[in-house]
This record gives sequence, C-alpha cells and structure tokens, in this order.
Amino acid sequence: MFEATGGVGNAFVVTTNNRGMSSDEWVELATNKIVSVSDTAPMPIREQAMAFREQIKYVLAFYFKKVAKSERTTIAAKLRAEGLGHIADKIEDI
Amino acid sequence: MPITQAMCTSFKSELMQALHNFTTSTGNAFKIALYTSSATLDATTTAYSATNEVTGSGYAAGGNTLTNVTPTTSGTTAYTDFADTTWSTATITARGALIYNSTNSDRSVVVLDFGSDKTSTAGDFTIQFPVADAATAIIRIA
Repeated sequence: MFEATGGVGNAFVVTTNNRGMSSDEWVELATNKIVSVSDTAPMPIREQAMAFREQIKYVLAFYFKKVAKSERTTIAAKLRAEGLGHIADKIEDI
Repeated sequence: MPITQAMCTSFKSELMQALHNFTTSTGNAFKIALYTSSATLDATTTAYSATNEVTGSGYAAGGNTLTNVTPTTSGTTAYTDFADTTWSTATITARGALIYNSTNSDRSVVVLDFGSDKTSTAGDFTIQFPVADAATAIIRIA
C-alpha cells in the first residue's frame, strides 16, 4: 500500500484601517518570504538566520520607502501638470 | 467549529482524476473567496458557494484570482504556492477562506481558518501564504 498525506499551511492575514499597508508592513511580509528558520534549527544557525533577516529587512525598508516616495513624486507631478498643485502638496506631505 | 482548516476530501479524489493543474500561466485559474464566521467550511466542502461569503465595499463575490506557482518537490513532499493577494480599500470582515478551481466547476481545494475574525476598514486586506517549502507550504502532499 502506498499512502500520501495532504497538508495545508497557515496563511497570515494583515489588515489596515483607513489606509493602505505601510512600507514597513510590506517589508515584514517580504522578509517572511525571503528568510525563514525552523524553530527546531540549532541555535547557531537560528542566530545566523535571524541576523541575516535583520539585514534583509533593513535593505528592503530603505528601498521600499524610496519606492513609495517616488510614487508620490510621480503622482504629484501629474497633478501639478493638471493644475492641481494644492492636492499635489498634500500628497507629497504624506 | 463552522470553519475548519482542511484539504478538501473531494480535491484529493480529483487530483487522481487530473482535474486540477497548478502550473504557472498554463494551469487552471484558482480563486480565493472570503467567508464570515457564519459559514460552514471543512474537508467535506466540495465547491465554492456564495452562502455566508463576505460582502462589503472592495470585495466582489467569488473573491480574488490567485497567481499560481508551479508545483515542485523537496525530498518526498510535493507542494505548491500562490502569490499573496490583497483586497484594496476594502471594508470587510472574514473568518476564513476557500481556495477553489474556477476553471473547473469551482471545485474546492483547501479551506483556510484565520483563527479569528479579521477586519479591514477602508484599507488593505492582505493574505500572505506561508513559506513554500516541504514543511509549511500552503498545499503539500507527502
């Protein structure tokens, strides 16, 4: 007899109120996908993985914030081109 | 419990009948629908139903279409994954979800239990699937 077992992983839900997800929240999700370490891994490996995870988070946070800022700059530029400078100012202040 | 996380039994049978294809781009279309805590979903669920499905702004009946990740193996375990999905500017509350094959008669695949009600108000409702490996992937066959 050959027997197979099916498994279902646990999904993680993130919600926000009256805003989209922040770059820091996206960084957390991205880091979860890039670096994971088993609870049962030996401590030196866990420590190395956690240190690497922090490095990855730092790099992602830096560039995700740049992306968000660039998006706002692009949107503001388009709004100013349409004569909506007051809205553009508010968007750049976010 | 009304929503019990499980791989649907009908899905296991349908795999043996080649009724599901998770291949990226060329596979079937899979969707994820959200449900309230009033829903009854478990291993016996055989197909998508709109009964007790979430309603609210930013959410359309049937849920979001998922992006498949071609199945792979590690050791003796086969697994597949999906790209994370987000409902934007959504005002909804969900307790669980059903992943189903919208190409193939909306046949159910797996039921997800979020553990508690999750609510977004005029915001993002994001589902992140677990790390795709033999121990944690969203759908695994060992």
